[in-house]
Amino acid sequence: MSSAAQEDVETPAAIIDAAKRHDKAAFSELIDLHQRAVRGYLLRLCKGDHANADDIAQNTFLAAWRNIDRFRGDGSVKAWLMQIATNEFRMAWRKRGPVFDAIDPEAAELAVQDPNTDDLDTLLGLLEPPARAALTLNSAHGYSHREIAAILELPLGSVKSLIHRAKLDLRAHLTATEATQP
Amino acid sequence: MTKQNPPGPEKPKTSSASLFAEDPALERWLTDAFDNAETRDEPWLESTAQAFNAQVLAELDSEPLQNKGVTRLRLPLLACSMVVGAIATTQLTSAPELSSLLASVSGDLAAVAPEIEAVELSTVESWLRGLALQLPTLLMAPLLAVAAWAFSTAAD
Repeated sequence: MSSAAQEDVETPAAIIDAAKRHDKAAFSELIDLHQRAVRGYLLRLCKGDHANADDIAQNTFLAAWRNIDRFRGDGSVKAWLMQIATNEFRMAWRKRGPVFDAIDPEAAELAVQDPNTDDLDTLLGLLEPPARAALTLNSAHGYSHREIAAILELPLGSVKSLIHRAKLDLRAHLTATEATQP
Repeated sequence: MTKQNPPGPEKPKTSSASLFAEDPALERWLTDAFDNAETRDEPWLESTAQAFNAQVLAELDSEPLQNKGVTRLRLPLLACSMVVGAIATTQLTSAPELSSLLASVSGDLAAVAPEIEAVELSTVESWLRGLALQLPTLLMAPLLAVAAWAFSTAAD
């Protein structure tokens, strides 16, 4: 798999420099370039809940605006935004508890009641948030394990293990689903 | 004469590469599932992109830049005083309890000082966690009380 950073939407240096001077027009361009990836990522973390995802995405860009002078440019802007988005999700999860429960009881119940479900968001809801984040970054955004470790601020071994266990869990559910289908 | 155990059958070695070996069928399912989800989200992301951008920019106008120097000074002070307060009112007997207390202190910090960025907060939390787990719980309260007193004196 090629590095996601290489495939990243190129953020022109001029936009970054202007945004660092708190130029709102430049920051608006930066939002335009990356909002799709950030909102899409948060949508998976929030199990398809548009309102929660956009609430956190908004906080992500506000935090990016406040901290833009800390962006050193040794990684991509997109990866940096994904890191902030993950932290904002963690914060929202702690504050709102039940909404972002580690294992969504509603999704778990739905999956048990309907073993034929193969809806991605329902199945992601069965995973703990760090596993959900790692799997999404890997499978949907093409980040390598090492890049995910940097984004989630976790050791490389933990990321490999999270993704491995997440896939085992999904495979177990999908195998059970297949077995129940005629 | 000492009895020797017979050599057992050699266990197959599991390399980390085989441990994390990919299942092609599952990989295909994942690729399709994420692609389908993206296709499903596409119209919503597209139709709300402009409004989202405008909303963030409107929020920027109502959010003055923080004085980071003040924030950095308040941060350790708040963290220490909250941990001391929490330890003083709680009987901690295990590392998981301490861990959950630190997570709740970090949440309280976010509520009291919303200008503290999430990145900083997670740094403080890991700093507190490291400190707490290295010292016996009983030593924590007096040590942190001294630290809080030192910080408050410095802040004054």
